[in-house]
Amino acid sequence: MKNKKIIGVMTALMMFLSFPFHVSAGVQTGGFTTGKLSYRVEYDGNFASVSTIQSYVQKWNGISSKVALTYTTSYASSQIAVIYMTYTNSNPNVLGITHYYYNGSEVNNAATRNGAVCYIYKGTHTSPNTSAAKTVAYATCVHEVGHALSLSHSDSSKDVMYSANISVTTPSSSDKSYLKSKWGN
Amino acid sequence: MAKNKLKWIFLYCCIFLFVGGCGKPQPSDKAESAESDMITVENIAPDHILNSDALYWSYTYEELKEKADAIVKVKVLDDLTLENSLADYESENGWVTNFCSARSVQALEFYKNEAGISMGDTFLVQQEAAIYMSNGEYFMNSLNGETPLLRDNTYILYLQKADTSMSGELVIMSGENGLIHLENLTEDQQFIDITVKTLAEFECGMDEELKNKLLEAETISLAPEDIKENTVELEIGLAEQECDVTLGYEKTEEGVIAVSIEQE
Repeated sequence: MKNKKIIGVMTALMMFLSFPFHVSAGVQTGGFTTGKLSYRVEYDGNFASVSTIQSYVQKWNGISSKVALTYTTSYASSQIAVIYMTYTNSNPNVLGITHYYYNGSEVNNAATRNGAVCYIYKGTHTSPNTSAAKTVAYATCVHEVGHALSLSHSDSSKDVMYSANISVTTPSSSDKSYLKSKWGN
Repeated sequence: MAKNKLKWIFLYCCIFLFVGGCGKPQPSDKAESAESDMITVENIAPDHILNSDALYWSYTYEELKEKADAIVKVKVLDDLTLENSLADYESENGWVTNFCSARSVQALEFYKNEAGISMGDTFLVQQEAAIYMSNGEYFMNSLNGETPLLRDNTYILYLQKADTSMSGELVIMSGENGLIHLENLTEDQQFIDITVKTLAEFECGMDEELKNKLLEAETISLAPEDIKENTVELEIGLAEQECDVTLGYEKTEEGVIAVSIEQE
């Protein structure tokens, strides 16, 4: 009788463990193998200091103990490059793009990577150098760095990872949950 | 004497072969060889098919209509190839910083035209999908995994003139925000409201009451299951034929309409 119970529990446990777990919709598979990463900033200093940009990149710090973004000026030791473009993308509606690399070769967003480059473009939808333009640029910066950390788009306009126009410059509770579900608490 | 004869025969043979071999290739030969030389998605290794993540400025239906220089139904005339793709490279490491393609389309119908295109014209539109070579290898990339325009398929495009355009042509506004694939209306579910409102206003002979109801809705979302109670049969004109569509609709709350689309 006891044996039957044990077998029953074991079978249930095996079935539970073999059931395919779904990855949360807001998280990419693959990505960096660690969340402890160095980033550099390439920027012409038009409307913000590098320290201002650092403060937005580092909005992702302090959420998960496994994620820490550290600023470096070294090209060789940085895994993430945040590049503020001084021009508009060839499609003026593109605000930011993130490309992913493994050993110098470009890879898909779902593949393992050891490099990411986040381009933030000069938008045309807000007057240049206004606070609205700065908000869009900073929000795009946090959004693209979120992609580098394996977060995909969200459906809620309250999230920094929202797929369309954003004015959110700080990760929401959902963004934080996605980050933790990818990297751990 | 025999040696001389042999010399002449050899000379004739050489001239014959030379003249025969130098003939200009027929146009069909040339087209065939150009076609076979083209690098298309089929030539790209599966792990080299990329989708870079991007953030677009997205528009509401009213904004799209207002900002577009042209709203036009088109037939796509080509495939995405290396030849119609454009890319910018970083000089230090050869990485691609920006990419797009200039795709050839034919205008079938206009709903707005401030771009000086004429009916039946063939012109180029820019899409953020491209085939490029990076560090000696071919890649296909599209922003947010958007499907490149499919040859012989029909689309309604919201197009904008852009000084920054790499191809110098009209740009499809904000990726899938400004693109409706008429052969596959539910391909893009994020902007289903744009699809439904565009069909209501421009494409289908819908009765005025339903048309206004759809155009005035604040939110249009795709119902999880087909709606059977309120349906309307629509006929959509594709490049080569007509296509029957059943549009189901129901008001779920104030300003919100759920729709279902069945396409034959």
